[in-house]
Amino acid sequence: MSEWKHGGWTGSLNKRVRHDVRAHMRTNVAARASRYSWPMLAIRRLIVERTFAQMIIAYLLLNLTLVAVEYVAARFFAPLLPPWTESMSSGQSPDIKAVILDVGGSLITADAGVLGAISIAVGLVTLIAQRDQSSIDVRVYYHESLAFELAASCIALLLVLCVQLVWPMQFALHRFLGEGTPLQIFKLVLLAVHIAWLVINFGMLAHFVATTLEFVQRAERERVRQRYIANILVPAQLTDRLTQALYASAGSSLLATQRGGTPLPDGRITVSFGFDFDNPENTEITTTFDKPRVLADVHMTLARWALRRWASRCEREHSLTNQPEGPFGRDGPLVSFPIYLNQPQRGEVGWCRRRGGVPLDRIERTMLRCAFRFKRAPR
Amino acid sequence: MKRSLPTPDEIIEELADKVATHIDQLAPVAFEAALDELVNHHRFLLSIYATHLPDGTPFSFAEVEGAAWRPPHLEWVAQYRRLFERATNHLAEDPRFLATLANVPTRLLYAAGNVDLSVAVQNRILDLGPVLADRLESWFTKRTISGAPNEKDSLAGSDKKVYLSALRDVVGAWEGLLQHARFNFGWSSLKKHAPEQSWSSYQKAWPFLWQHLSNTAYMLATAVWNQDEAGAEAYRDALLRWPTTLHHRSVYGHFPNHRFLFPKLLEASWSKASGDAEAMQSRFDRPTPPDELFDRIMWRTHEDVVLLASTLLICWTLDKKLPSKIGLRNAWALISPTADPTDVFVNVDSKGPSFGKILLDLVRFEVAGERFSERSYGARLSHLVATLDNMTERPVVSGRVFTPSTLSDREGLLSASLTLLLATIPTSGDDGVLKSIQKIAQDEKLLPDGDASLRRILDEIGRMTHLLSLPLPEVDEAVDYLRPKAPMSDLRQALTRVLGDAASAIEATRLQRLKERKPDIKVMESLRLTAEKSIFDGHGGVRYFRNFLIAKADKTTDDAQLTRRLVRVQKGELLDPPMRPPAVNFVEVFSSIVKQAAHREVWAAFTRRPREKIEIGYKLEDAGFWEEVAKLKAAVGDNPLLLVSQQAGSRGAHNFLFDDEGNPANLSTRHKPSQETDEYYIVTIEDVDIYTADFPVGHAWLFSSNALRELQYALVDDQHYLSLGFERDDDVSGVLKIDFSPRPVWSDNSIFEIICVDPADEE
Repeated sequence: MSEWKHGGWTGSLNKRVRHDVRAHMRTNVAARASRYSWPMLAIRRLIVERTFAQMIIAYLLLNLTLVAVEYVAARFFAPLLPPWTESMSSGQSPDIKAVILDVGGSLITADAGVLGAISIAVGLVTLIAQRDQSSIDVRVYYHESLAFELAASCIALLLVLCVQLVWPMQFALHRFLGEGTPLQIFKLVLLAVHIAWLVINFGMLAHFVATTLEFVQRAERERVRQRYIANILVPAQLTDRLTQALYASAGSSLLATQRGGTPLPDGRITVSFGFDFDNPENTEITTTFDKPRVLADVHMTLARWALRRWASRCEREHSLTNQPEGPFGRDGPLVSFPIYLNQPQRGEVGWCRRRGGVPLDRIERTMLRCAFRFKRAPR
Repeated sequence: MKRSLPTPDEIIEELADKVATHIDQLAPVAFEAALDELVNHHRFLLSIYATHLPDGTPFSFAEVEGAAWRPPHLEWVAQYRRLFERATNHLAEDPRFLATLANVPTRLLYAAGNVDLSVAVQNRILDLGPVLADRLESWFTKRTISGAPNEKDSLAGSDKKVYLSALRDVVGAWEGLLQHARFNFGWSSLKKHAPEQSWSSYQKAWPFLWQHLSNTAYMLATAVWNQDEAGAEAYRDALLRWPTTLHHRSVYGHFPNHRFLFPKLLEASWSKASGDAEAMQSRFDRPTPPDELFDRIMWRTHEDVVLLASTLLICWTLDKKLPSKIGLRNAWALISPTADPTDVFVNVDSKGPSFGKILLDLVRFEVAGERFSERSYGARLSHLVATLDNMTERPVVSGRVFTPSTLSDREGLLSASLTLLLATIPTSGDDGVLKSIQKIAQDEKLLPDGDASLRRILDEIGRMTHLLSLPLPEVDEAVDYLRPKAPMSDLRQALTRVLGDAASAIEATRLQRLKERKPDIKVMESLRLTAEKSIFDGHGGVRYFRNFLIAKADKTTDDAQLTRRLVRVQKGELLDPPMRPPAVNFVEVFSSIVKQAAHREVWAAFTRRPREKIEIGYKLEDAGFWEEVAKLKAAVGDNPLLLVSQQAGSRGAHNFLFDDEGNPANLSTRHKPSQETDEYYIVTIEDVDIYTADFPVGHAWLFSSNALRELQYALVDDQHYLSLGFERDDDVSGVLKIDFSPRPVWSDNSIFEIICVDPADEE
């Protein structure tokens, strides 16, 4: 377990946990042995971590960019465009436009074939899994074979290919704006993109088939499961659990450390995170959330600064009053943050409370507001 | 493509489901394959979560609960419980499932490669042994014939055969786990390593071995609790043979005082541990190598667990928790190991139930450390008792607050210990107990806590002697069972005599030692410093006066030295280490006495100052009284303070603080916070603080709380403002003499002594 310095200069809880998890995954032998290969990592980065809508939008942006480039190139750099890409309906050489159309049709056929194959395979595996009561294993299989991602990618490509049979954006440019060029260079570029996309889909199909075949053999299935756990599950779960644990236990160590060799007031002053003490005397910070929000991160260095300042003020007040039998009577001063990480909050929430000691001043409250970061609650 | 992902818990549960399905289908090949898959997956999870803390201690991230109820590693291990249940349900049809499952802990612990498992994870895996034993006992109790208690162990012929076979499998697998320890912890190659490395390897093995040993005792206890004679015999055998099963070395030389070897040594570095071990030996003995020292520690630990298990089984019989004598029989068998010529460990002490050995082993428990202190070996033994006895807890409603009916430490085993001692005490002589006790008492350095260990032994002997003086029919009955026709009164007398002699021997040695020792200089200096600090801190115990300085002054010839004496102080409390438990709050009480003395001296000086007598014809509550006081306030000075009798004070408190109509003159009153006042403060009226003192009714003093300007303490010797000495009364107690020299400096403000002509003294 590292120190808060790994959370950056503000001591971000999330950043520290990410650092700890990364360090663990880097040094753990089992995790290293089960790491994804680099092509798999590239595919995951390119396709798997994207939604269907994101794929379509990315393609639309590319298409729009090419239309804009065609507009500019035709207007200002027409001589520079390759003349061999002109469409010639009568001649010895094959017409480029027709070739593009033919290739497009072939791509649709191939992509539809991939889609059909994975649909059948997924259906079969699901049926077998139902018989074997292996619903969890099948979910792992779906994840590791990239079945959903491959299907989404194939459907997205199919949609793009079908729409691009009529090249709607290029048609609008030529027909309604009277701009563009009869040269087919830009359509060829898009065709190359379609082919590359299909190649990636074929690559994913190969991975899908290999994973499907592996999954019926015990040893291979164990390896698939281990890859899934090492690359997906452990980083996610460990991050979540460590964040919760460090948040809940931060109070005990936040004031206990030393600064410049001087022992800080500890033991008698309590700071608690994520625990609701009964009947606090004062609510120090209240926030009204119009929409559901969650506590997403805590910057512990900032919080520690504010709480140390408050603790020192409590100590000073005590030395002035000079009460011999104990500094703060039966219970020492307490600051609690009765708010849980990633739990939706709505309405008026008093998330910083105090019992005993001196009230927090404006600087301390401001610093604590900076330390506790809220974000919109996920749906 | 974000979806809810299967968790490790879900995956492992589904894998366990498959194993369970194959058990139900009685398909051994598919079962083996499914179990392999489950265990491999579990091992992978253990490996991927394994890490080390900065100090090198193995840790598992699977111990981190996060927001969950239980840490993940417990969820994983819990899956095997239902598999054990399934396998035992099908025991009669195919015992192979249970035999295979019994090896799961070995496979999880030893097949995980070079992964260092954390102690928590390792212990929970080892707990699978008792879980399996529990399931097996459950199967046994379902098939035994109900009715007379002595028929409880009878199984149908085929069931009995299967059950005995299953017991052999379970015990075999459990012992196999222990046998693997030497390979897992690398003991077989330790000869080539430096002693520090070997010792480190043994240190690493200790948590595993303790858990295995205590779980073996648990398995025996669960069989006895279920009155399973066959199970009890099998597990008892496993417990007795435990050192033989561990068996990584079998040659012992002479090692005196081995009874004081405790596992605490395993927490120390090799240089410290070897030094401590050497201190127990004579200078002619050869140095003990790490493997031999470790073996001896484990052997002693094993003896402790066996004796504890034995006394607990007797305790169950005495408390009528068991309807038959199975507890007594097994307890007796535990302390009477049959001599086995091949068993070098058992042979070391295989003279049958020996009174001396049992008594000295019970003494060892007391030397092992406080039952209540954390991390001591004594606390560990108490925890084992609590764990074993926990299986006898009555049914309780989950979540409801209840008082546990089971033992929480070794204290509850006193009657059982007495039973063992009475059943083994020789009719003449003391089996060498007195000689051994004298030796223990004489060599204080041998004991881990020195004199505190001896005090604990004395306490235990005292409790035993007291218990012996009471009528104990259950103990008599148990002793009669173990030692038929022995005269109980004679046995009791003999034991009382032996215990009395032992206590006297210890007391005599301690008294001799106490006489020889003088109060420790450091302890005395610490007390002196505390007292000196207390008179300089805050108001230094001085009441009524505020805002004065406390200063240090040089010694002059005029200084009157103040001496206070604290009588009947036990010398044992002033030694280091103490030979008597320090009195509760001794230091605080001592400081308080010094502060009170300082206050009395200051007040006495104040009373010697000139004051003016005033007569007032009003009571404290009357407006007229305060009109008169208002006239005097100017002469008194800032922060006027009225000191009244306790009767007037309590009347004032009632009228001004608690009675709405008690202030008819409508005087301005307020109550100052406790930080600004002390316990003699009542209320502030018309800006005059009212305090109480031991005055006659109708008398009061009005003065300024600033009247004391400075309180000086002069040096009483060359460098101290407070000196402390001890004067001996007799050999064990004396007087603490405190000398200091307060010198108050006063302001010239007036002091008035008010006499109420018509005091309300009805209170």
